Amino acid sequence: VSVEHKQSSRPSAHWEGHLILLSRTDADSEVAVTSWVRAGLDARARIVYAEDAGRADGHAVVDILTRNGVDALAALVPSALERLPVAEFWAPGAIEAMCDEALSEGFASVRVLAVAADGVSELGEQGYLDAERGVDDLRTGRPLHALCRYAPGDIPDPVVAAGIAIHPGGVRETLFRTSRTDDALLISGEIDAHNDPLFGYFIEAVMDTAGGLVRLDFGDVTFIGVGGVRSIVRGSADFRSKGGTVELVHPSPDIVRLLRVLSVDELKGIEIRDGDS
Amino acid sequence: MSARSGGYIHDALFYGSDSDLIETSVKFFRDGATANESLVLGCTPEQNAAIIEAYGGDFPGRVVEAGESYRRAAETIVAYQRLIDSDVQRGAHGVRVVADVGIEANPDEWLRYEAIVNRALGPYPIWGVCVYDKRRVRREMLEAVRDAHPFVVEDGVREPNGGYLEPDVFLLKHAKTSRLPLEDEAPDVEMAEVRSLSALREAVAPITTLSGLPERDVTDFLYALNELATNALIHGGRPVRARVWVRPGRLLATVLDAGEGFTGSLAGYPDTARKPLRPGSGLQVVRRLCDQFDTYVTDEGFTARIRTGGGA
Repeated sequence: VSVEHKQSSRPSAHWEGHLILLSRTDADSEVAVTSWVRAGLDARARIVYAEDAGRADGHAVVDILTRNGVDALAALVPSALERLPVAEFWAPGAIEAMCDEALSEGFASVRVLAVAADGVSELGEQGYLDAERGVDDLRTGRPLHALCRYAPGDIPDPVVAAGIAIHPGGVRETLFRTSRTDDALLISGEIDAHNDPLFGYFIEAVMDTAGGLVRLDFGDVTFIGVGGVRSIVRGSADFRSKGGTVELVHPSPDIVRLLRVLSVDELKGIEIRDGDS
Repeated sequence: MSARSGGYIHDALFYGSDSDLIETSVKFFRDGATANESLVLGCTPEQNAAIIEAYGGDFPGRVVEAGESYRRAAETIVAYQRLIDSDVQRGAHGVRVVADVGIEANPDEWLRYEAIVNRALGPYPIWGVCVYDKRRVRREMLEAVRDAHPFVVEDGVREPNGGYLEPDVFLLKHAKTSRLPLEDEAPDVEMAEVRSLSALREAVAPITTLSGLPERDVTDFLYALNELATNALIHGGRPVRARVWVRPGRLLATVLDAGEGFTGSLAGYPDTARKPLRPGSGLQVVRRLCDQFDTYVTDEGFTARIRTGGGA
């Protein structure tokens, strides 16, 4: 089996699409938001974020950008960065209108940034998740990118799991990322006990909507612990019991060794494609 | 008697001369070949050659060097389980093994092996004869390994061993773990409180290469350390502390936590059946990816220690 890597080589591509940000700490979140905004400004996008006025806890987007020197960059282009109160941001038709307006003003694309906990407060859990799914529909035919900030611990686990299910190809956790290619889900980074529950949600979400074959590309995974492997095995158990196959492609030699130590290579429905097979 | 009659048969052969080893082994293998059992010879290269020559030169089994297949006990057990499954599937009625575990190279690890193997291979159709040279192995070691074997062969006589101890009892008597001298030296990496596993891996990875050990050993050691720290963070008491020492040809690490730890030196050894990701898989990974894994308790708390390279 030969599976080519299809991830874009542009670093800014890490910040395109409909993404879920699952930062472990405020500092991690700040780095990610800064990178996402910077990538948007580089791409001549209008950036609209949902935030009520008067946030004074240091986590306001403008405070984050000021601390990281991106506010000056944003100021170079008038109206490149705009804030909308949460209720207005999530009002029916608002994001669609934002897109049309920004594009008519000559922006190349639109990026929207929202905090899941704020959205849940405004719309309720189900309403918020429906609105998130609506963003996916809006992206069809529009240059729209979205970053949804989930803080595990601030919102219930089932909502986090459902959020990951909405963005299986766009997870941005502190240590691991996912992207969708034509024929695989590309996983990058490190998976250990700190993030394997979130990785488990990702695996379950992928299996829930999969056909007969799921290809997980491990080419950019630099570390996975036993808990991460367990997430793959348990999360795919139902899928495999119904005849589905999970292909793990491009794992490094040390990951292959771990999989074999754990006898994963003997499990029905899991195939390890390490280049030798 | 054959290797298929009632699971694992575990003998110790205490030999006093080369001819004793050779004659006993050749007869044992001939009986096995007649019973359609597969054969494995795993002594020193010189002993292997002498036994094969006495067999008639055309030895109908596998030949491995003692040091090759007896580096990590947990790996050795799994290798035997796989080998037996495979041979039986291909029609063999059982497996016979004559092997030297090289106990003096790492007495702690291989004494434990001699005990746990009674349980881990219990249901498998294998007859293993562990050979011990009475001229070379220390007397106290010979006395200890005798306790781990249900049968003893000596001076041409094979008898049940009335002094045999079940694995748990054996380990209480013989498995002693204490601090190594290197642990009294300043560690090369010390993390007073492990909060992030990635930070631990990041701190340790660069210096482990200074050991000069093969890349695979270094990577395996890091995976083992990660699982040890994971285990402490999930099951142990905070704070979790980590220390790592790097010496030429040797890596040593300890992970301490304030919890009660776990009892029994059998943690992480393979079970009788290979079940993927059964509870305790993390410690199983630790056992298989480093040369030695020990636990002990001091005033500082519960300590889990791993070592790769450098002998015991």
